[in-house]
Amino acid sequence: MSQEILNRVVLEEAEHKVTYKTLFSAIIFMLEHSLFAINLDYLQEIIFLKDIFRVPNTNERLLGLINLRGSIIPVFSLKLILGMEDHLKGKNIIKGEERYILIIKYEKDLLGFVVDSIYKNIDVTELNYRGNEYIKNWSENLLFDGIILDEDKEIFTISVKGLIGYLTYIK
Amino acid sequence: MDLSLDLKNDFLTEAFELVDSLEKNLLSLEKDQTNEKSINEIFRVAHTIKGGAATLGYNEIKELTHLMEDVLDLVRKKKITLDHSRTNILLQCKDEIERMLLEREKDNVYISEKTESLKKALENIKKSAGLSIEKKSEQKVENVEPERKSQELTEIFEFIKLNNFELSTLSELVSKGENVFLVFYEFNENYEMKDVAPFQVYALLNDVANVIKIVPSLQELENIFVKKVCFIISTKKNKDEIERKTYLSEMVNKISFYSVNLDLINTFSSFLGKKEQETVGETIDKKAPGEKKEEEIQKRGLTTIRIESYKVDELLNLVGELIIAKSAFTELYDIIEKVENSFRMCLKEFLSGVSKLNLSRDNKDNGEKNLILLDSFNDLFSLFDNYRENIQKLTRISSSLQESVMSLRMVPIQMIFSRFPRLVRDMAEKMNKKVEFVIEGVETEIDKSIVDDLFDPLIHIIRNSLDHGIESPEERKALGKPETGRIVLKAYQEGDSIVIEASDDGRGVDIEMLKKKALESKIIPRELVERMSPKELVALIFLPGFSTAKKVTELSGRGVGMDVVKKKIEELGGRVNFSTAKNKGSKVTIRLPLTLAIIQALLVVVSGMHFLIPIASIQETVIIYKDELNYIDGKLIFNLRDNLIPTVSLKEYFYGENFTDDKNKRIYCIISKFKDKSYGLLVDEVIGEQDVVIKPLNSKLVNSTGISAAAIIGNGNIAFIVDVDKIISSVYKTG
Repeated sequence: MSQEILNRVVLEEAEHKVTYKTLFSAIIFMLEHSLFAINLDYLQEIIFLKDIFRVPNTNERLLGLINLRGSIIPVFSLKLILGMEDHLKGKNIIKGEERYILIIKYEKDLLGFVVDSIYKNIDVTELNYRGNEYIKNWSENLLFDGIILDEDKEIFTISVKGLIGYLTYIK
Repeated sequence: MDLSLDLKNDFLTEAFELVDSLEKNLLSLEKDQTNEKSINEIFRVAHTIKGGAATLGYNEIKELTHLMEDVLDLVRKKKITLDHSRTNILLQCKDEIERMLLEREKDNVYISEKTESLKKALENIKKSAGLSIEKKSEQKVENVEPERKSQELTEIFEFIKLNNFELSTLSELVSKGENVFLVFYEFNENYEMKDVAPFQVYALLNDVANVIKIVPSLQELENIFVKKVCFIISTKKNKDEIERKTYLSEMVNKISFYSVNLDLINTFSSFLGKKEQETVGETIDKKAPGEKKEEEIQKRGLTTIRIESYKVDELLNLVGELIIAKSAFTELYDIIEKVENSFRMCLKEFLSGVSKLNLSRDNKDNGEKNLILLDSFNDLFSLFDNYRENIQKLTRISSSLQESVMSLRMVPIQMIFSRFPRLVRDMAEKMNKKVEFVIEGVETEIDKSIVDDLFDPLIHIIRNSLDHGIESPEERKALGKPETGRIVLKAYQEGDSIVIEASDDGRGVDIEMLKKKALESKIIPRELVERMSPKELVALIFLPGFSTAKKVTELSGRGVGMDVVKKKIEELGGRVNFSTAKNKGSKVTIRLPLTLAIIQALLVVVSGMHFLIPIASIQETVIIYKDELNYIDGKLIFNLRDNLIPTVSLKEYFYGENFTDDKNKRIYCIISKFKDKSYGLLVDEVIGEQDVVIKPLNSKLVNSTGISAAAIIGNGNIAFIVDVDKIISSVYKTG
């Protein structure tokens, strides 16, 4: 390959990199054997699962309340929301589980979601992301914002807005 | 100079308060034209706002208040009377000023056509009086060129403390032909915004002169009010012009001018030289600056301070945390006390047993060891005693602290009540009704967090009274009632609650019409409506979409009414009651908790979970045998001192479990009062009373019937606060 062609390739690649700017950063986590992602902008913190106290007469997707440094925060089972089984369902007090709680802040709402494990952080670019329109082609599910393509995996990005709308609806 | 944010905020805060009092006084003046106190107060308010606005360059406010002041001056001088339409114009001016202030708060300028039309209306009032307003500058000003006696000059020099550099600057300016003056302003101590008066004068002086020095300095003036302030100025203008420009009649008592010429500068130079010589070995009775400042503050008699409400909330949160920590210590102490008692028993038995058995061959040796052991335990027990005393001390202190902080959150209900007279007046006018609006108990204090949310429900209730309750003057006359209707808004404290009553002497609610409406609306089955008692029928007004209004008016009758009021009050943790009598009037009674932040509650256990029952709703706690409980018509009931008590098992209510499932033969029953009737709540275990900080649940995401909020208890666990009224009313359908 002549020097001239090589230079052009390098230049094209550089241009290529500039084109694919970062859309947002996301955290990827596991539920059973599936990966899901959530926009880092909404993530307040990740904590180890601590005692969850179930509120009587509420929807089973609401696992209960936690005491987070003096604040009381509702915690939901993302598995139950997404139609999976969750053995935490219906327990009056959940404790001693090796799982994590993602603390999410959306507008004025602060809430937690129990997930199995944390996989990794990822920068989402135009290159590796397919937005809502893509999903809408084959699904009406408002719980997802889009799909992240990472290596050979397709990871659903949870729509925080859609999720809160759904939880308000089923309350 | 940094006239800055502080000055702006001070002005806006004061101005908002003043505007409120403007409305109140205008309304009372309208009722009683001879009320000189009110007219003077209104005049003072308009003048104060004008002064402040002029200083900050808020011209739109200055111009409007200036015209208002002119009109009010005519009223004060009895050249015109304040009839209904003139009061209306002044009230609208007040609204405009309020809007202008709100915009200034956001650093915007409010411009509207309405302001211009109001200005014209004010001008017309002035013209109708056929008089020209006396110019302020014509007011008598004490302006004497004082005789410069040596003693007086020394005093002046002591006051202004000029140094060599300043003297040479003055000398230079005088040589250049500038007019240099020492201008002494004596400010009015009784003036509402006296703190900003020197700054106002400074701003005005800046337009006409060059200010060389101010004594005391502006920094000092920002901290304390000083009655006499000297401005050293150089100007091209003469002293009359300066005086005319800067004489603010309400805030300045006196202005004295001293012309500075070369002779005076020489005299001051000689004073300076003399003073420098005397400095050595001189003993002066000087107070430390801090001490002086403190004295000044004391002189000003500062008894109140302004504080941002979020700081009080933060403080309350901290007190909340302290109470949780205290509860943890108290709980720990209870455990320690139990352990200590059993330990004492064991020790007693052990020691007496050892001495009786004589197990060891060397008794003497063992006896000594036992004594050492006893001493060690006695030390430990005295430590426990010490701990108990300290816990008691902590409890006392935290209770006092809690009370004090809670009182910081309390504000007089006047804050919202004061907004109603004007609204009632305007609404009554729109509806061509005559109403006497009476407010009672304005000093009643209420939790600040409730106040703002209370306005909408109250205005709704009062609007209903006016629109549907109070009849037209003709109708009232025909009914033999006085033409003027009466609406009373009253607040008072009763135990742990605040009661607000809104009553009227209007037509009341026609029960027959209610029944008819209920049948027409088809919200409730016909058979049920037919069976309803008058009390039950009256309660229908709280149903969504149920309106008794014959016609929809601009003000009410759209059916979005009392249900919203009820919902809002219940959200605030309160209750609403409605009573009515045909042609006699109606009364809405709102009962609210004294505070929303901390409650005393009984900690109980149900199915292994902690629940809190507010002490305010508990009558007594009894232990009963399970076989004393019977099901009648599917509802639990038991006999307490010959009274049948309808009962709810919380185990069943919250978890669908049968209370007979566990092996205990006896069960705790909490007796609560609801609507003058006693009800029982069955719980598994009673732990004890606790002060808890209420943590509201996010109602958007968490909605549990029977749970009103949550709280963190001593061990860090979460307990749920039981909504006793809701549970009873849902189980026994008491509405």
